[in-house]
Amino acid sequence: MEVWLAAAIFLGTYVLIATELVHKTVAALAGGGADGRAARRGAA
Amino acid sequence: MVALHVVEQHEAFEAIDFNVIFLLLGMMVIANVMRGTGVFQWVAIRSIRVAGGDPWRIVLVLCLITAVASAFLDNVTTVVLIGPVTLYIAAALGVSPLPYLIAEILASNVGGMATLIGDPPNILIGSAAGIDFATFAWNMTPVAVLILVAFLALARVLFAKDLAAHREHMSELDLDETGVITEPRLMRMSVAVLALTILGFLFAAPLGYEPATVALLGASLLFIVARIDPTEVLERVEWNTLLFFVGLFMVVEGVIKVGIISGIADTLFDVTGGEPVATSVSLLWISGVASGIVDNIPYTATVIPIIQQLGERGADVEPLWWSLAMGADLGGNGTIIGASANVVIASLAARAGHEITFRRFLRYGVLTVLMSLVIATFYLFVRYLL
Repeated sequence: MEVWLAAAIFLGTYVLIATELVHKTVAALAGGGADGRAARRGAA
Repeated sequence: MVALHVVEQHEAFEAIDFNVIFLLLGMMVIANVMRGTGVFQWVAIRSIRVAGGDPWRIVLVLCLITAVASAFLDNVTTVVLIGPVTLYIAAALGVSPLPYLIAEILASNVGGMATLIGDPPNILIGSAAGIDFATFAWNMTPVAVLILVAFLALARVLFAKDLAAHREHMSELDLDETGVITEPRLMRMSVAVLALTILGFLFAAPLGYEPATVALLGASLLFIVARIDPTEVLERVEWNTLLFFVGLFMVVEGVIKVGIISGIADTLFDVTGGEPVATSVSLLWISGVASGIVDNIPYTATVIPIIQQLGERGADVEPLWWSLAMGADLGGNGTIIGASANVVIASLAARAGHEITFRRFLRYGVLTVLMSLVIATFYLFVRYLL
């Protein structure tokens, strides 16, 4: 399950980067999950 | 990856290669200080004069400067320095900078292949395989020169249409380098610090320093001796690029952790049965293709342990190290996100109002990678496998 999830996130991120639907920095950060939720969970 | 627990936050953060991030940051600081002194404009005007104002000759001169500099500097550093020069040249000529910038990206990845410090994957491979600077250059410089010559011939064809249009529409050149150096004292200091930093890169490994340490020391030294306000310089750092790498490292860590990348590599070796010619050639081509999709730094970091495992089983790993180096370095030319230098130039171009789209770069990148890998295969076979 985890493999498919990782593959889906990875491919989704690269599709976003390749198609330029969003800025590539936003796509990479969103794919990595370095968003507010992750930061808040880490701080907690 | 973090929010869905594919990797935990600490794993994602540990996956970020801060040597790459801080190397970039340090060199961006030095380059940004130099940019304000007028030295890039001076180099640009001299280049145009050498090239006689002909678009193809400008491409040629810029590619040669970029390729040679990329061998002795990290190729990211090279494009950080040469990118603004190119933007200045194109603006002076009244033409789009994109053909020149794309050609520079391609030349930087070819030139960077030549030495241990030329491209980040080389640093990883040299460290893992115990290959020193001279040995790396002895093995990789000949093939880098061969591929550079072939690339320049290909570039003449690839960019012919763009450059023909430039020839028709370019502005009259009436440039004089006199007086373009606006801050001579700062220029001398920043050039001296850059030279010291380059020397630092050459001697960093024997002294036990990472390239990022050298770059940050150089940037700090420049701030101190030139008494510059850091706020102003740091505002011009390409934070977009640095954060892109941060995100990319975390995304790739997810697929590394769940075993997707090592699974692909394991399959490769199962298919070839560890036979030297088949394994080396397959590794070269798979690395070439994969490095266009995944940034070549995390890709290389993933494949290195697989090669080490094969070595422990008695396989001759020497051709495999060179296959990985050539494949990862050259494959970086495949897409606009294939190597750090590509991303840096794309960001510089976007900031100047010229977008290098994924599709546009692909047109030039794929052909260059195919040609390069054919030459690399020939070299690999003749030098290591016959």
